[in-house]
Amino acid sequence: MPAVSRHALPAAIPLGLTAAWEVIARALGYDSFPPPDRVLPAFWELLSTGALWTNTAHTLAIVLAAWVVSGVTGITVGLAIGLVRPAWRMSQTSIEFLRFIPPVALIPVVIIIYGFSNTTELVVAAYAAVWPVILNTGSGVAQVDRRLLEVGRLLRLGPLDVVRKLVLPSALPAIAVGLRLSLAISLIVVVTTEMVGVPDGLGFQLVSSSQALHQDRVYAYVVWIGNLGLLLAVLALWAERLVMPWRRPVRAEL
Amino acid sequence: MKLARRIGVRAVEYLAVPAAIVTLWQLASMAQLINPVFFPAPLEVWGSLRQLAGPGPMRDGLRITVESMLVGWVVAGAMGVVAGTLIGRSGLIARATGPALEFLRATPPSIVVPVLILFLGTGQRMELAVIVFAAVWPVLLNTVHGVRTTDSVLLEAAASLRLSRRAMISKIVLPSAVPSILVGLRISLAISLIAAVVAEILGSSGGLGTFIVFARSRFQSPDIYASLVVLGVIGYLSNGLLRLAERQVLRRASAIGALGAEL
Repeated sequence: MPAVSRHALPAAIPLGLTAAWEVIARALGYDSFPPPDRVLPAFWELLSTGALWTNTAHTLAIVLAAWVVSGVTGITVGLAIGLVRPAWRMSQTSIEFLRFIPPVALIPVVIIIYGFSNTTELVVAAYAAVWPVILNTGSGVAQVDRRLLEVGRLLRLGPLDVVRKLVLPSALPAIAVGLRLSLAISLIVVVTTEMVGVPDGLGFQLVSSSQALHQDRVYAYVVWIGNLGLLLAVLALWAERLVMPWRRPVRAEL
Repeated sequence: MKLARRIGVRAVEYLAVPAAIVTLWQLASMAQLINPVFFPAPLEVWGSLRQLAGPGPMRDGLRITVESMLVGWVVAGAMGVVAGTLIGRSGLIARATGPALEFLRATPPSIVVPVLILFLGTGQRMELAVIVFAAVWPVLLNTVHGVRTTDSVLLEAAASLRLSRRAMISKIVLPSAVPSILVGLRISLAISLIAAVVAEILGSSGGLGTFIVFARSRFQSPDIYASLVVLGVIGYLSNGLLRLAERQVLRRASAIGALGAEL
């Protein structure tokens, strides 16, 4: 395939969809379905008043905080259950039960405890985002080559050094997959928490625009948050390749 | 005798930690160490579970949630397998749809709820749309993966047998992608449950999510926790069932794989 169409085609579909949106929305003329040329001014307005930036900063700050919390917790727990077989078996039931409780369903409980605060957002998001890190770290650590551990014993490395120098590096690809999933989940859950209860950030702006019947703003926020998600996903993938150029594909544990 | 002992050991291993947590929780709330509004005692939650198990809002909610989860999952699964097969087989389609799909996949499903409400109202149709939007990705991606990793020896054999395109896909490509598709379906089912609750909380479309919202407005913490327990059990059971199915199919698939190697 010639080089031009190789790049033109992927670009053509989003452009075509946007054009179709414009044509259909104009033809229908529904208030609930504004065409892009009405959404774009709304977007510029949000940009120029700075509202978009402050809310994006708020949401992203909590997303990153929740990601760090769930990453540290998840790697620690994952290491423990990956290294100690009985711990794995004994925690199985609790993990399998807890990770299937939909995080949104927790929002009402956490609001009762922490009120309409950043802590609520952080707690719910970290709860949701910790499972992929635990599972992927656990299975990555459990799959570390036993011979490697024997080498550690031969070299008389202390247990801490074994973990730091042998176990963690060889489990790194699996851990990275878990961290990447957990970043995506953090964004989803923070935005959802803002939509459901905590009046702050992008999620709340989206809901209140919807309640104020500012449909153009609703679409502007939806597209903006979607792009934010895409940006985080691309950055995470890029970081993963940067840290591990030798990376081999790992199957995600979910 | 030996088997019975092994089963006994396993049961202790699997149940010891949850039993310990629940017991400690109960003792702590009896000693009034934790706030009963934040963390109602397990026995209290159990009481409200038993009370709610009879005909009433919780049971209606449970029915709506499970029904939506299953219907949405089936639709998402079918769409994911079809789209995944197309994308996996055709490099052209893969390149053309790539960026658009990456964007949609990165969009948090909850934010499409306000938009979908505009089009579909707050009923079950909106809920199903949210579920499909959220749950289609794991099936789609795993189907693509499965289709792309079809054994090339099998494909060459099919080509030399002059199988038609359709026969090639239905007899070779899809069967060998089944293990991968099943993984996608299992993850999708868990996401279907989450998306159902998201739609029910944001759109009050009925179901357990809406039940939780009402329970919260009356500060009925035991009722909320009872719903959380029910949701956890649904997720645990559905995941376990699909994992069993996966194992069964994998066992058979490895037999087919051996056959394929002989070809």
